[in-house]
Amino acid sequence: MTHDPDNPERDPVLDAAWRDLSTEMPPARLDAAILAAAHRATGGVPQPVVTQETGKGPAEDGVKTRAATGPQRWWMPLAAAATIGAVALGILQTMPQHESVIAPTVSDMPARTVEQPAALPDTQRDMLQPKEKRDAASALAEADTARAAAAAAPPPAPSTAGARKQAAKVAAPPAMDRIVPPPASPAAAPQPFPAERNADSGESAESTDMKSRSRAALASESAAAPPVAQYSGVARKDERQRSEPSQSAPAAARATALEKTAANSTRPARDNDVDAWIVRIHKLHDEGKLVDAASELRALRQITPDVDGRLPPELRAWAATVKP
Amino acid sequence: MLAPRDDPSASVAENSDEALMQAYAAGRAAAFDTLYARHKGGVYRYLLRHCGNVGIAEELFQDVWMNAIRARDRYAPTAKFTTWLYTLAHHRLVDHWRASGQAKLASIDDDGDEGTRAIVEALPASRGDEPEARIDARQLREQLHAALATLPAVQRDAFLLQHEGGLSLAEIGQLTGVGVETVKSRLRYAVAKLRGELATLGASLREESR
Repeated sequence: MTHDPDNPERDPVLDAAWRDLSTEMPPARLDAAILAAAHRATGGVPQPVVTQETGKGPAEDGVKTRAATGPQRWWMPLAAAATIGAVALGILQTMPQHESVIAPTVSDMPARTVEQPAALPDTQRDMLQPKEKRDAASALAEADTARAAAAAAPPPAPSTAGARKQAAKVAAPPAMDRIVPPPASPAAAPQPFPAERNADSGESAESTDMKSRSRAALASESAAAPPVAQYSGVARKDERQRSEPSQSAPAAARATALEKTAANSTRPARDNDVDAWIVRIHKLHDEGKLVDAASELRALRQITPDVDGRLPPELRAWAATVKP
Repeated sequence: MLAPRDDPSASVAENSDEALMQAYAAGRAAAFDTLYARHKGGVYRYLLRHCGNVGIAEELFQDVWMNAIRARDRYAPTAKFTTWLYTLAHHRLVDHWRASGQAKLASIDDDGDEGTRAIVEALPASRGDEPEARIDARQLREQLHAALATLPAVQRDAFLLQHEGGLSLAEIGQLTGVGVETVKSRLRYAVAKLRGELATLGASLREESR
């Protein structure tokens, strides 16, 4: 035996003795645990460990090593859960489908009212408010009837531009007038459409003045119960409408429509009224009631300033003595 | 340098330890099986000879391999695998001694006493022709292990790293943090002590045989 010259610290005898005498190996359970951990770290399955010294694996050495079944253990509960889920889904699919019964909802909140849109197209308004539309239609039908009655007498040609405008309005009223539902209450009344508002505001001062005068004359007629009011069904209806303040919404709508119609038909009625008024003044004059006749004449002058020219010749001399 | 005794290079010479460790770090778990089979005995005996307790040795052994598994991504192929592995084992051993209040490997420059030095000087240069091989194996193992246990920790560590891990002087010095000459000195003292024990045991056995 020679000593290693490059490594004098090694002794061949000692090396041989050490190699032969030192043969301890780790237990197989440690092998299994460490290999299982190593394979878990990489997700693989460990192979049987072959002992270098004996050339046999742990199982062959008589030691039962537990196979590292980590990756095999975790999928079993997962597979069971998936199976249960699939079965439950299948049962749900095969069950008869019941109609869902929705319990009525009890709520303390007040029922929501349908708000009237302020500026919707006509068709939409028709769809949203059929009842109001029906009310407006009935009101328009009544207004048309009154207008037909008023038109039975041939109206004189309009003398002013405003009157002509009114006549055109009566002859062909705008569609907006037909479909605008009357407001249920002044607070909830929808704002007029811009076109309508402009049309109203665009009327001449003369036309407005004529309307106001017509209304004033009607008011004075109702106060003095003039016979002219008996001739005008429209006026009677208007008066009846005004005498019933507690009207329902359709009635109010109808009243509004009739008021418009009456305003449009004041001109022919006024002409008839002037003639009837003149007849009444003539009658009072003939009866000797000159004071009353003068009073009537003054009232008529306020409505028709040129009434003196329309008076009969026998009254003109007397009318000249009646001062305003 | 001698290869570790567990090195199965004869059967799997195509795969070095470093290549196997890289393969394991890349996800090939089978590579770890080969590495473990090659080095499990050496690491286990290294720890067992230091501790002298099978239970502690097994615990440390498992910790070392678990650390190797966890640190697989940090393994640098520039380092030798056995050096890396026994470094893990050495550090785990030092941690164990520190935790148990011992400091055997902390005294780096403990190179033995005068008695050991005298034994080394008295030993002949070569004793390969003497009939130590005929000595009873069981008695010799026990005597050898007892003699190793009496060695200073640093000498025992150098001897075990050389004989169980197959590390070179430079690798031992790198692992333990000392120079090569220091490693040589430690090994010389360790070998002298063990050879003296073997010589004593052989003489006594020869006398008994007469």
